[in-house]
Amino acid sequence: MPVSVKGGIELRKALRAYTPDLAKQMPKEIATALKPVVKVARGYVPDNGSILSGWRSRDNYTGKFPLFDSRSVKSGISYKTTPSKANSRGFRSLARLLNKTAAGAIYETMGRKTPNSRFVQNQRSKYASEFKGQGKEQGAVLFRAYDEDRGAARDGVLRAIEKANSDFKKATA
Amino acid sequence: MTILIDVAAEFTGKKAFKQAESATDKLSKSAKSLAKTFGVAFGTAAVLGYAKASVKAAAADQKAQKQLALALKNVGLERDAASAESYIQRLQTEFGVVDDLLRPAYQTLAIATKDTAQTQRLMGIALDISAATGKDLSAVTGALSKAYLGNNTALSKLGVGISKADLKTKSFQDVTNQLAKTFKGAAAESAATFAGSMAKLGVASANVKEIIGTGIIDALTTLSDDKTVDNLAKSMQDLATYTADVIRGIGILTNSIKNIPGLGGLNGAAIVQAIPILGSYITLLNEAGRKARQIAEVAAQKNPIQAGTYLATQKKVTALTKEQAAAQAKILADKKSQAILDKANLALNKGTDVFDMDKIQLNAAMINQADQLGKVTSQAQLLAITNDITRLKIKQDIIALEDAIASKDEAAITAATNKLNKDLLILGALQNQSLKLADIKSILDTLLPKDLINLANLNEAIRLLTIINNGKTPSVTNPVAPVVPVSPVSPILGKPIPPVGIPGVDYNPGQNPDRNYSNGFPNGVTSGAGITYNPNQQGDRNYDIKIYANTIANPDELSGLIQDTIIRLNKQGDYITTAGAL
Repeated sequence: MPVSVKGGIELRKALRAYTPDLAKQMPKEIATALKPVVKVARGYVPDNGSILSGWRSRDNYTGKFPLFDSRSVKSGISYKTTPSKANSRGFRSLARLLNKTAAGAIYETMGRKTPNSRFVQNQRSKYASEFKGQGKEQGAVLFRAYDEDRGAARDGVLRAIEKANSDFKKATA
Repeated sequence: MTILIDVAAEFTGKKAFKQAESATDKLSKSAKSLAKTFGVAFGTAAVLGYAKASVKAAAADQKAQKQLALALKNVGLERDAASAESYIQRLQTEFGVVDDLLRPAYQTLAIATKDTAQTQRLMGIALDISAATGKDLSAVTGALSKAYLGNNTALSKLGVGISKADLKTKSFQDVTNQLAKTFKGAAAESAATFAGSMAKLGVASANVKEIIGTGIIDALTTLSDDKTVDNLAKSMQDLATYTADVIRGIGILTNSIKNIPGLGGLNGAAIVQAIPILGSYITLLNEAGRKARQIAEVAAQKNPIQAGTYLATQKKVTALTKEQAAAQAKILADKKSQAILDKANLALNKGTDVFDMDKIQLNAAMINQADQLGKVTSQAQLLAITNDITRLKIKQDIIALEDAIASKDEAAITAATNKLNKDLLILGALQNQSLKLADIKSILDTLLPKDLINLANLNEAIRLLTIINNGKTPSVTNPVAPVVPVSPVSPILGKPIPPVGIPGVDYNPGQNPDRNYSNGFPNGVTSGAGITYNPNQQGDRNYDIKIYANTIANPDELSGLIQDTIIRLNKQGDYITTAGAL
């Protein structure tokens, strides 16, 4: 579950309006906190040689099921520090980690609901992937890395926001 | 599909949620306000809370009214303050916009236009634009006031269908006419909707609160002996408790009256009036309160001239202005006198400085020392100059002390003495430092390297050599042996070359005597054993060297030997030429 912050978006607006230097500084510090998770998560993505040949990316493929390409999956694992639009429950994300590609998402969550499916069994026999996390936030790549991070990224993000807040107050006092 | 982990998030809510929340809030507030007004269903705490809120609202309303009146007065629209207030009241009942928003908007426009008719016209347009676009009323009025003053940027950013070309080419009147045409009736239409009705209800509720609050303030200030806030607050609480109890009692009484046969159809004020004796008193009180309120309202609606406040204020302002002008003139005159005195003092001081030779000399010496400081190359020089400067300062201190003693100024004497003592201490410290430097110099001298060769140790060396050569111990009285010139020995003749020269030979006095040898052979010698002298050279330079070596092989054998050796070397790879051949 994300940590709920009050006034984060207003803080960003105020920083941008009154202290542009600090406005640039805060996303950098948030990024510093999130980068290690992204790096570890990319490390959990298997290379193309480890993928079953039928799922591997190839030319002239006309099917709809997304094929796995290690490089694109790795590049799809990233972070964002800009506030998102409000979700259905009215929450706006201030900092988030992403696994954007379809193949990456499949690899992340495959076997979570149907551990005995043929596809999952075939994959499991090919390589070992480990699920980590809780409930819906359980996965083999990004969720795993975030779980192993043990809240360090979250604490870093909060620290960066608090630091920006205190710096802003000092600058405008 | 994207896997997403939210690390930190903020709840901002949704627009629909906000609207619903706002509407519910307003509805509940209105309902509560009405309920509180009746007061039957609520206890002492609720009544007290409502009374406090009412007083607060009334106070805020009064403050806003006074601020608007002051702003209008400052821009020369004091006469229109009452009409402005009634205009705002009309707007809030008509369009459901609270006066807390309308007053600042009106004030902004009035300050910009300085004209009541224009202000009210623009206010109407602003309300229409605000209702049509959903923009904040203060933003719209701000943009309009800026545009009135010639800054069209804010108006163009409002997005109200006015192009930049229109803003550049059309007059403000034309632009506002266009806006009035575009948004005509928007505010009225908006007020006719459900949301508008809710807004009107909210306005009414706020007004009720303000009216009740004003009444409470009036009543309590009348009841309190003094006007302090503490007493007022206590009175408020006491009265609220009392009122709540009375309301409870009225509730019980009303219920009882309703149960009386024939009076069941009564309601509201009629019930209260129907109470025997008490009802009459309450009616009387109501009448008295109503009259007091009406008198206050009429007084508030009078224009300043009717009320007589305008003339009184103007007189006060005139008197104050005159007083200020007189005070300013006095300050100016004082300043001029002070400036003249300062100038005279400055001239006197300058004159004293010009003819004070001691000071001149000291200053010159100080300047010279300052120049010298720039040329310093060593610490010792720096120390010496610093010493000099300190001495000069001490001299200055002494002069200052003398002056102070002459003037019999105790404070100046103390200050000059302290300064002198301080500089003397500095000089003492500097001199100690110079002593230390002298010590260092003596130490350094002892560490200097000794000369390897000087006259003393050379004489000692000669003496030792003489001892070695002669095997004699030199006399104690003359330890240095005399230098004996040694005649050069001819390498050919094995005889010493006469130091004076050869008899009959004229020597070049500019040359060394040992170089003055004649050509030919000394003492008539023409040849040595096996030696033939070159007759064109000096005798002592006539060296012919002949080397006699035994033959180790005949030429052919030697040639063959060399060839064999070279061939062997070539075979071994040790080429003696680059071509590898002879």
